[in-house]
Amino acid sequence: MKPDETKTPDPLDALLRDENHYVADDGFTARVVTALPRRRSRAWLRPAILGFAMLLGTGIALAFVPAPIATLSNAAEGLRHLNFKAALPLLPLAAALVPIFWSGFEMLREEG
Amino acid sequence: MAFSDADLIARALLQEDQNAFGELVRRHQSPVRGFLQKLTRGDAHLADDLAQQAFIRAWQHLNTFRAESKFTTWLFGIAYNEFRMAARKRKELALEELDDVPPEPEQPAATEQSNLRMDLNEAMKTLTPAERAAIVLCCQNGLSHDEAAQVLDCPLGTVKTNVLRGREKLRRKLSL
Repeated sequence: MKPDETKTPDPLDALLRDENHYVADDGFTARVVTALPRRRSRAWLRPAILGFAMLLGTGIALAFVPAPIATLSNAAEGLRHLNFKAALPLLPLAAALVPIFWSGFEMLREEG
Repeated sequence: MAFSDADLIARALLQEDQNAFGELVRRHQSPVRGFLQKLTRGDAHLADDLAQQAFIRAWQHLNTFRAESKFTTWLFGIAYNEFRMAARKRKELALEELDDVPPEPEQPAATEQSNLRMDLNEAMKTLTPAERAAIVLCCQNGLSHDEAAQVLDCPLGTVKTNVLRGREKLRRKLSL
């Protein structure tokens, strides 16, 4: 026989256990569920930051291009005549614009 | 079909299912409200307000719940924080933590069970909040000392001391 088995149950423990009553719900759960706020979703934040960074980067890049409008219109003209070499300056612009639109689309989807 | 707590948590998290969270509240409201009622010395109204706040906080931070501990243990921790914040606001905790509870006159041992229960409730009110919390968690809700230390955010030794000291005080008050 283990030493513990000879012990009588502690009256204080028994009393404490007996005093641990079940608390009836009485509409508590309903009150909590009614008060639940919509969980704050920050999922839109990442695409927003990425989109903004890309926009900023494109702006800075264009600021360093001499006569950007003329360069881009020449490139567009080159693309129209299927002169891909002349259309090359459009490539970085397209590479910047695609992620910007993509991040905008993701932001709308997350908010959706 | 009864869903497990883990299923309900997943539904509440992934689908933002308030009904699933409601089921979790229904399952765990009794221990949480009982715990807070004892901490607030039987003020059921205040306890329910704190419990509601605790469950709302649990809903907002459900993504931080790690299944390393039981859901109830996690809820007890949030509830205890709510109590501490409310107590700090009322400047009660600071006073009580100094063991400033006036000693009550020794009472003769109660013979009837109902008297003993009343005495237990009165005796519980004379404990410090930390002792009361440790007793309620370990002796009434069956948490281990480790789990209680996690809930109360204090060292294991402190919990053990508070349980021991609290039990001694109760024993003395109840003449057990």
